[in-house]
Amino acid sequence: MNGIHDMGGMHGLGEIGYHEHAPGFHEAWEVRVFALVQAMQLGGLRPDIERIPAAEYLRMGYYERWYTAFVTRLIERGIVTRAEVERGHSDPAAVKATPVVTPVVARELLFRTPQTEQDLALTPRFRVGDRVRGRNIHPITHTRMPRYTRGKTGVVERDRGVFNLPDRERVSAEPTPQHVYLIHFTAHELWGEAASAHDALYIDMWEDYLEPA
Amino acid sequence: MIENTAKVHNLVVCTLCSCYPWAVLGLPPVWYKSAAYRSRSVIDPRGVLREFGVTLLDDVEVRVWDSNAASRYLVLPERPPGTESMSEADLALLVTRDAMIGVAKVAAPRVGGGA
Repeated sequence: MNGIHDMGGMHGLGEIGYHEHAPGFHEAWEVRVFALVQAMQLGGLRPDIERIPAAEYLRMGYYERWYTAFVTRLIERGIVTRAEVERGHSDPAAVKATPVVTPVVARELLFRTPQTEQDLALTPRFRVGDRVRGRNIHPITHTRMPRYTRGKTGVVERDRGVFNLPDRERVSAEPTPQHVYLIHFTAHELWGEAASAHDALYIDMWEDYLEPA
Repeated sequence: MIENTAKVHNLVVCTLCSCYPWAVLGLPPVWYKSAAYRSRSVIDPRGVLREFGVTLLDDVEVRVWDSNAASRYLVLPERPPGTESMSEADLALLVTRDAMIGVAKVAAPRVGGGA
């Protein structure tokens, strides 16, 4: 969706606020939110984070977004009710999820590298060296295609292999495996003549995001 | 792993959220998740790098990596001059998290610090 989260190339979003030794967490509740999200293993929260209204998204801190998306997910999955969250304590009659992980398992999950590549021999639509264009699509649900790539022409640098198209994960129960390609765009192509002639941007793109150029 | 050289400087960002090589570098720093870093790194990488104290010559190619999908990136920093006699283990001690994101260069140890 064309949400505020898709902010690559925007101006006016404040200061970077670099500190060499900035802590990862600022408040104790952030640690708890982080741990809850890891422990519950509800799948990616990105689609839920992206549905937070733009003004709220910008006002919220990082883990506030996580919390908001997490609660949305818990309610949608029927693990808690909105009324329970608002009251701050559980309804004795409510459905309870059994905790799925122990602290030991949670630690392993945290540091495990997810294996997201699919071992499927699908025929790739594009080959290394092909010129491709980002399709002019505006899905209203989750996508991993930043809008700054739409309508822009680049070159296939590498075939990453086969991965599930994240755009379909909440839409269809069936996975949508397809090739992902590393695409090279020149800075000129993306940002115009004012950009440095030497600079470039590399981004992985699922096959559905691309068309021949 | 993406390699910095005298002619190429790599910078990693996630414009859509905060994708980052957790398993290796730990949780991303707060600034990496900021709206300003996410929005500006792709359109103005040289300006962002200047804010981090890294000024690049015009003939250096800046490559921005928007880690939006399954790949996570680590920058292999450029070896600083004057470190030819250092071992791999000693060189590793010079490498910082920021250098592996691409917002810092690796500095040679100060003269008088051994070697």
